[in-house]
Amino acid sequence: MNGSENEDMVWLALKRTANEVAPSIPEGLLRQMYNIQRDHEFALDSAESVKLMERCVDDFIERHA
Amino acid sequence: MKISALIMKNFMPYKNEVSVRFPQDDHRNVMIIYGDNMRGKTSFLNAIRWGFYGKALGRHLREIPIHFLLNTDAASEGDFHFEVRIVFKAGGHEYILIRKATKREHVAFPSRPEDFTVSVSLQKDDSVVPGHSVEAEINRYIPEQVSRFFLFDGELLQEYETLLLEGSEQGERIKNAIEQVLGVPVLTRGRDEIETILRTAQKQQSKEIAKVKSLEVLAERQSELQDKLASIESSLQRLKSQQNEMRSQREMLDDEIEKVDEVYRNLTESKSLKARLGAIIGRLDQLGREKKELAKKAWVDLLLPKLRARQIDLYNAQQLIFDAEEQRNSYKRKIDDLTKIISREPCPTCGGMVGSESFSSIRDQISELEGKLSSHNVPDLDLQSISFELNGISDILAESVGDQIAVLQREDRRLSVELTQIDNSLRIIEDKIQGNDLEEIARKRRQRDLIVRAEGDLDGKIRDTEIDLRKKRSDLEMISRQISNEPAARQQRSTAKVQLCSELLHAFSESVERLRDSLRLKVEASATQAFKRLSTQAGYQGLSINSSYGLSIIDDNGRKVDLRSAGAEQIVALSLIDGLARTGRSAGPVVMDTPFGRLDLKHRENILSYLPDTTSQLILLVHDGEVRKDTDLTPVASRIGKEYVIREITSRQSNIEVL
Repeated sequence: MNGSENEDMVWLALKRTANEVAPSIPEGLLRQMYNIQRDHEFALDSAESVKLMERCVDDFIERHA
Repeated sequence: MKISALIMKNFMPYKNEVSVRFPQDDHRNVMIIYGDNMRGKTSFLNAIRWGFYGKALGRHLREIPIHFLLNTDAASEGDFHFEVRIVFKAGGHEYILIRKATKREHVAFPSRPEDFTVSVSLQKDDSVVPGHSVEAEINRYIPEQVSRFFLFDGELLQEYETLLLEGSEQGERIKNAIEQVLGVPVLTRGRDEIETILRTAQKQQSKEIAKVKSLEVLAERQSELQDKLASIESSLQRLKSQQNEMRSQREMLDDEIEKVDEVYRNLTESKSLKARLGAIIGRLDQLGREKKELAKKAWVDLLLPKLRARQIDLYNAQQLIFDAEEQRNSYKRKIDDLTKIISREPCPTCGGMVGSESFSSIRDQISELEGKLSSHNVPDLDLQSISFELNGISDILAESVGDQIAVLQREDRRLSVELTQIDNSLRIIEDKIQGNDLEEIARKRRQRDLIVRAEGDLDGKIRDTEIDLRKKRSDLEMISRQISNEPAARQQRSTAKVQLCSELLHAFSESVERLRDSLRLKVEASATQAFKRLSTQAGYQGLSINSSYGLSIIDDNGRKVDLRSAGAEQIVALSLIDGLARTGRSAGPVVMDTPFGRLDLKHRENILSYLPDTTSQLILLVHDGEVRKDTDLTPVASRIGKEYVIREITSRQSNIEVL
């Protein structure tokens, strides 16, 4: 089976779209967001992934303030 | 991912401990379990499902209440504990998953789901996975949401046809499941969660900019919109939850009504059987009377040997009379002829004239013949009375009373057997009908109609609320943009966060549809590849996918095939599943319960040759009617790693044995 190929499809769709519609988002941040969602895809509760994503956003703003 | 073993204890028909080892060799990865209907094939599938997810599914994919999972024999012996253990390998680790259900202490005899406590434990190599992480660990390899693609039966396969009806309720549910196996939720959940973060950031922004004099109005407007949006979202959530509740109520009523339809069918059958029963009883009474009448004449049969002897005597006497008459007539004819000759008439034999010198000899002959004639005696018997007596005897001997009674008895026996069969069928049908309140059934039909109407109203409200929600979101986005353009606001940290989150939201939202488009193309290509291997129709071009992942067959002229046989549906469904498995995440083992019911031999061969290469393990639960052990498995013979048979011990207990 080809889990990684599928993962690539999802990641590529996100990366290519972001390049077009929101080019200012750094790929590193986008990848972090993607990884969090991939790891929590089947979690019943979204609280943890929301917290992790918000932390990514805050850290990014902190670093670029 | 590979399953190493499944151990069931008191689970459904499997009383005590029943253990099954799965094949581990990649080249012999097919496992076949034979079992007649009602022996426990679906229970085996359910044991895997319950072990992994704590759910067992019955008809119409409804969850089976937990108290029905305990083996009834074990329960009647006072053993109220059942469990499933699954040993599996995944990601380079070995796992032992144990799910147990035990009767609560204060309960004497468990008869409701709440009478049981369930516990689950997972061991990963040498360490124990903490309770709160068990589900997540299982979901890493075989998420429940996508289990329909590797644990399935004929009923599940039939559902895929509904995907062709775009927008149907069931189709929508399956579409969601398909998108889960394809990884779409990574983006949809990401989009929704970023929106949550954005909303919090906007609130913070409103608070911060409200302190800036020039931005007070915008801040107030943004705050108002946020409150409205929150209120609309909460209404929408409430409406959707009502919708789910109604849907589930309607589905339950549908099930009950379907059961009721069966009751009506049974009632009709019961009426027709009762009519036949009445006719049989009437005929049996008549036969009884006829037999009694015949029995009165049974004494005649005692005379049969004597009558047969008398018949022979009479035939002989009749013959004697016939012979004597014949002889007398012969003498007379000869005397007449000779008398004519001496009367100078031509000879009656040669036509010539006889000379007078011969007259003396002729007279002597006449005299001799007359002597014989006068001495010839015809027996003094009454031919007429002999014939009359013979006719009477023949009538009696034509069919004896005993033969006639035997014919009636044969009919009696045949009807009595039919009577017993009808009686048994009636008893079964009446058991099924018993306890069904016809008035209650009518009430349920009315209730269902009301729910359907209410669902229609609710759908309308949800649509309106969603339109309102989109509008408010757009308004809020506009205000946010306006605020972000204000130099005073740009200095605020919250504004930076709102901007970043807005961009992320835009990227995630836009990518969802793009991903769906590319996934559909890939699924279509992979499913077509599988279809061409599985189908026996070389003329088909392939499959075409719609927005709900429904697949249509394309013929050699590039047209959609509208009418598909049940077997073709199953092949298309299997092609879709294979296409999804090739496009989506690793599905590992595939367990198929009674998968070949609607397929001919050639399609079965194609499936058996194809699937072992596309799965880590292929477990087939089959009955004799769909696979003949000796012949049908030839294409996959070299791939079979394990073979088992489910044996019935009692009607409530089965065992699985190595074949």
